[in-house]
Amino acid sequence: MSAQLVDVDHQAGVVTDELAEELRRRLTPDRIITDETRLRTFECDAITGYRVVPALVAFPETTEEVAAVVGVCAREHIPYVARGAGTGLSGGALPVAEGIVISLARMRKVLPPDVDNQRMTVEPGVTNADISKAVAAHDLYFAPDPSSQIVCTIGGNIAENSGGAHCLKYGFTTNHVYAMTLVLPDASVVTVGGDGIEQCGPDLRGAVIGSEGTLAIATSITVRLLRKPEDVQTMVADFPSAAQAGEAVSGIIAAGIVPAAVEMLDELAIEACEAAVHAGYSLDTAAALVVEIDGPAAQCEEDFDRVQEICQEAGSTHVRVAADAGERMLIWKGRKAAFAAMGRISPDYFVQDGVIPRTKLGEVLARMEEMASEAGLRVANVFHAGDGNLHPLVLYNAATEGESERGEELSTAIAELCVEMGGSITGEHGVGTDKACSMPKMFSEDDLEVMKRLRAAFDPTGISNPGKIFPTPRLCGEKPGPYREHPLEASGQIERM
Amino acid sequence: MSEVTTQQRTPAVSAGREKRPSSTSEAAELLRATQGSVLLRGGATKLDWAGRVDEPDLLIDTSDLAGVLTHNPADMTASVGGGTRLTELQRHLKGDGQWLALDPPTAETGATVAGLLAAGDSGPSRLRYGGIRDLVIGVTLILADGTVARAGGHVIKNVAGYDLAKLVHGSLGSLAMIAEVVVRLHPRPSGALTITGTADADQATAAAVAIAAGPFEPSAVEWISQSGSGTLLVKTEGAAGYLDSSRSQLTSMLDGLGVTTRQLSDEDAETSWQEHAAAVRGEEQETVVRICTLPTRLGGLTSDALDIAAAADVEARLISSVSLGMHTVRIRGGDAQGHATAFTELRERALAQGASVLLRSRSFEVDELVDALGPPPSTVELLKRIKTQFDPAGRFAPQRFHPWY
Amino acid sequence: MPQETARRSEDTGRGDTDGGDDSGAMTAGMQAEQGPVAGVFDLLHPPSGELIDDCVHCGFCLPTCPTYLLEGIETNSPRGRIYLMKAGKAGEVEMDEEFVGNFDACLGCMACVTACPSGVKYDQLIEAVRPQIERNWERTRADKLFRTMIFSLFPYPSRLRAAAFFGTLYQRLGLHRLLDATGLLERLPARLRAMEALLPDLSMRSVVARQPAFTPAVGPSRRRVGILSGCVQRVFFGDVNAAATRVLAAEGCDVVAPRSQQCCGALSSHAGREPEAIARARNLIDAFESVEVDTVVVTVAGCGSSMKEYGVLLRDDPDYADRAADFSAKVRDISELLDELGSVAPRHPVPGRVAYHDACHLGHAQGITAQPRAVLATIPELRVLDIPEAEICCGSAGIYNLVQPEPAERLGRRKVEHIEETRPDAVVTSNAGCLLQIRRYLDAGVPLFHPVQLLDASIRGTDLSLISADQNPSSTT
Repeated sequence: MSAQLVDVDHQAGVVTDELAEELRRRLTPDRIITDETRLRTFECDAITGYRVVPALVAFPETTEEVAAVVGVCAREHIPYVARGAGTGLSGGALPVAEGIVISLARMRKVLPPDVDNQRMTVEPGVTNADISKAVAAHDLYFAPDPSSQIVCTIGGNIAENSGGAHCLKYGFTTNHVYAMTLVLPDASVVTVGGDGIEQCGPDLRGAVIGSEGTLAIATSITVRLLRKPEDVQTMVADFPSAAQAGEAVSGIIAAGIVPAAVEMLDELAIEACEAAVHAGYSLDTAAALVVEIDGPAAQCEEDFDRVQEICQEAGSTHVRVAADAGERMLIWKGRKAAFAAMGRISPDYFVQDGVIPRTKLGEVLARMEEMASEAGLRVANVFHAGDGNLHPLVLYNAATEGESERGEELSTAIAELCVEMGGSITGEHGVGTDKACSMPKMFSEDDLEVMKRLRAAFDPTGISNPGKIFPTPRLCGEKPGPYREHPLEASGQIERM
Repeated sequence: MSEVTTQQRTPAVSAGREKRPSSTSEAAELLRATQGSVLLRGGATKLDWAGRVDEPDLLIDTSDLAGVLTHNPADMTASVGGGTRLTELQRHLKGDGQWLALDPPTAETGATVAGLLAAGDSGPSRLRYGGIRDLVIGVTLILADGTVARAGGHVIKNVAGYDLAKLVHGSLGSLAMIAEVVVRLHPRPSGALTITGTADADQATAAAVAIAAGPFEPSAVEWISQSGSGTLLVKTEGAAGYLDSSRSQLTSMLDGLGVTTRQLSDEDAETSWQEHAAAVRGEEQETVVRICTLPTRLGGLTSDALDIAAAADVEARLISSVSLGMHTVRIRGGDAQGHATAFTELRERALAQGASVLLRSRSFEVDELVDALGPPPSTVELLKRIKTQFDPAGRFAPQRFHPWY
Repeated sequence: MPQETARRSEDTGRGDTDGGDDSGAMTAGMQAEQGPVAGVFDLLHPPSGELIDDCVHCGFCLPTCPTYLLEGIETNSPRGRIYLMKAGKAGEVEMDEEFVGNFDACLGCMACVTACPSGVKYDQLIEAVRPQIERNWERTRADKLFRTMIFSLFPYPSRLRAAAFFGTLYQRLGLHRLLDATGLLERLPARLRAMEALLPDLSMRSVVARQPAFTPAVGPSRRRVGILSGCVQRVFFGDVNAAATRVLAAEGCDVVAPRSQQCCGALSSHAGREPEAIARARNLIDAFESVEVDTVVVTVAGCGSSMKEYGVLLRDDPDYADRAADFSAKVRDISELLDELGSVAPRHPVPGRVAYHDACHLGHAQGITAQPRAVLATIPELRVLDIPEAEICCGSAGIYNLVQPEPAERLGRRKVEHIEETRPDAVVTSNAGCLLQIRRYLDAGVPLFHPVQLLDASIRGTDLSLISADQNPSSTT
């Protein structure tokens, strides 16, 4: 029994002038884009290696309008892709050629919080950081904190099940959403979750979160808010080698401490962050650990002292403790700017998002170093060390003959090394377009086929964000790999940003 | 009165129709080789939740799909056969100072890890650690046609592919068999503090709100109704220094709400929590309902339950995870008709106020008089399509979610 | 007059090396000829491919971009605009109405420059695109007419004064509310209320106001500074200049205001009218060279940021390139200078809560955020409040509120809502445009000042009460 999933390519409709006109009437004319110039800017998300110009971009402002656009797509078999801020790092919001992009950027309402019950309902275009900002006066916050939190939207967080530096202790988006209003691919509107923490029946809320826009569009989201911890202690410990920093991480975990966050940066990553933010990281160290402990003051103090001891035992050469909230914020600002700051040390880079069992860290680092020197490329490393999520940034210069191919190969090899070590190809960026071809490395045909059954239940005609997560012959063809050069790029007329 | 027994929950099965596969592949083969309806049974602690399954063509006992498959203490993850009893897993982990941070009331009566996931069952500590949905990082499922599929993995952070563990969470054996489960572990807390006091529903709510606003990381805020009032149980865990400061802060804070508390000794705390678990499980001949509301709805729910029970000539008793808004309502005394009336009215009232309601155990007599599931959710068509995709022949637990799917 | 058009013929290939070795210079009124192009751009300093490539498309600029904030449209964000520059250079898009509209919509607030982790120099990119549009895009008649009107008016104090009296602009800028609201002024603390009256009243009287050509330092001279009188500033905020002169003198500066100075060209420059901007820059450099000063001090953020870029603007002019760079190096915002000098003049208390609005051209374009606060902090009993969403533009942005009135109004209202959240007694900001824009939407009961006006009041002390008695609101015409 195979999933009843119809390949959208076989019967996809097209966006005609009449159809665009219909959508202009249904929304408003200024909220439908069909001109070539503006469409061009929607051709990619934060991974610019994949570019497809859509046929139309719609900017609905209500659940009903989203359903109206999806309804037209369902009727005409036109594929659509929901888009938030376009900060995804896996090509998850890559448009479909001749398809429609449904931008949720104008759905930015924030309802008043229910402080006693620690929850708030927001629309999908609200940024992650704005949720916390809206409830800061009540000492509440939204725990998932992806590095792009100042710009990424909660709708995108739901699609990707975003985590962040603090997910070791606090979990991911899926652990912080109580309820969602969903527009399904047949344009029906349903609610999953609710006032109650559990519903009767399968956990559809959990199934939809992290489904990368392939199952539904969330148009209203009730998030869980946490009380700000009484105390937060943050330190940066420098180490003469990444391996020693890794030992310190293992030591912290073995001591029964669950830190709010443990992040590792290597020399190159520190260089980029410092250039961008001047957060005061030591430039002459091989690796730095950012460790944050939070919670009740008494507990926090005890754990933090122990963490400092462990770091020293592991050979830390210097420990800097954030003196106040301002210094803590600066340390985090530096860390969170890491990817975005890469432009300062390299014209181009691939970012990986592999996960390994934490205990394999030393081994993987050594292997990566070997692989990088074989490829003759530099790799900057930013890790969520506490949960084994690695973000090796393979630096290359597309203008140098052959570097982009070597970079791509190295990047893919690193992701596959993670799987080999018992980990995952993606910890938080999602599979999207970028890693779809690597899915068979991690999952069997049957695994993927069963996942497709879920897809088929939600989206029998496959119009919702097709081409993502699952490998397709068109995408992975003869040479599975994430990036193909645009003809204009090959001829030197354009470059990758 | 005694607790509900396994026999009472398990429907009659003809001889030879009960199988006990000892591996995932054997279980898959069994499903491939057979036809007809299937009931999955782990510890048989929740077999009658939601719709009761009539005599199945095949009963699969998961007792032999048990055992800790992997446990890497330094990575704080473990994988187990679905039929592994939670108590057995906890014993295994204890030596390394770790545990699966889950304390469901059904653990003592033999709940298995797969059963807990399928039922979405959790205990008071969900407040601090999340429920089982938050602790499972990978699953191996067997579909009704024998297809074996994995989702998730062995690392705590992983977003590759759909999260099928969530899909089967709460499915009560109606979508797939859970053959293996991978979980993330937590360090065992170095110490714990339980304090108790007498509080009515409003005081309990106020206490929960105040505790949430205070400098604590509470592990449990529970309330057990008694005629006219109730008992508040608060637990927090951590280092000695933290527990010391919490003791005085919690005591004076609750005092300010008119709740006089005392600290329980470790032994007394243990006993209290065991009694609490037994209270949530309920007793024979009771109708036990799980209701989830906004946490601050406790007062309203309590008075609704008491009023409705009185009108139906039955008694109602509540055990609430106050901060989580998860309530167990036990309807007792009176006759089956009274139970049915009280349950149906209470569900109607609760649903109207945004709550969710799951019928747990009850007598066969009550079954005859109630609609176990109630009005369908907005997702009912979607649920039907999911069932069709995963189990097109409708083999798994056919009556569980009837008539929704 | 230097004459030489861009040596386009030598610029081949991808056009990425543009500019660097281009010694061609545009002279006022001279148009680039049609010829070899970099996509939709001509070869006279098209946006640099290298600068474009610094953008990794991360999107961190989106939340600080006023137009993205309003529209939520990717195209109308810094990232989108850079993407279009790239597509434009590659010839993948046309220079059409959508293309131009998208760049016209940019306020040039440069909040994205502050926000960018990769250090993308969007300021240089947008300033390269605007003259390209002016040269290569035929605006509609109405648009052209309106822009011409603006640039025939604002840079000329005498014409602006006349217009103000005719009341057309006056209405448009919302200045009428300043006068209409006299009744509401009663609710204010007396000192602040009195100072507020400075603004409309003296701006009307400033028809005859002239800055003295030379004002000696009080006490020993610490520095010889030239002061920019400005064009809009001179008409509407003549008293800011007067206050600045008094404060500078009190802090030990000899203050020179060259008679020959005219508009600095900032408005033209920000609108891409490069030839006009270049001519004005040359005149201003001449004017200040003639009086030999150590520092050129500016009280208008927009002017200051342009003057600091003269070196770039005149890079192709052999006669002026070096002089322009020297000039730019001497330019200081008044808060920057005062902070650098340190205070010597005693202060009197000015009790009250003031919300400090960071003008984009001060904060983002010049990176000056600490100094104005530090300078205000020298005033006893004055509490300086930060405004939420401070990084977002108020919608003034040079001529933006004239050419894009609708988004400008939405931004203005949004800004004022945030200002009002802080419940200030007064609002302080260092830019004439912001003062006018905020004034338009702010409760008339809340006065607006340039920081130097508060300093002036604090240094002069007793003057406050004089102002209060003198400036009876009913006496304004």
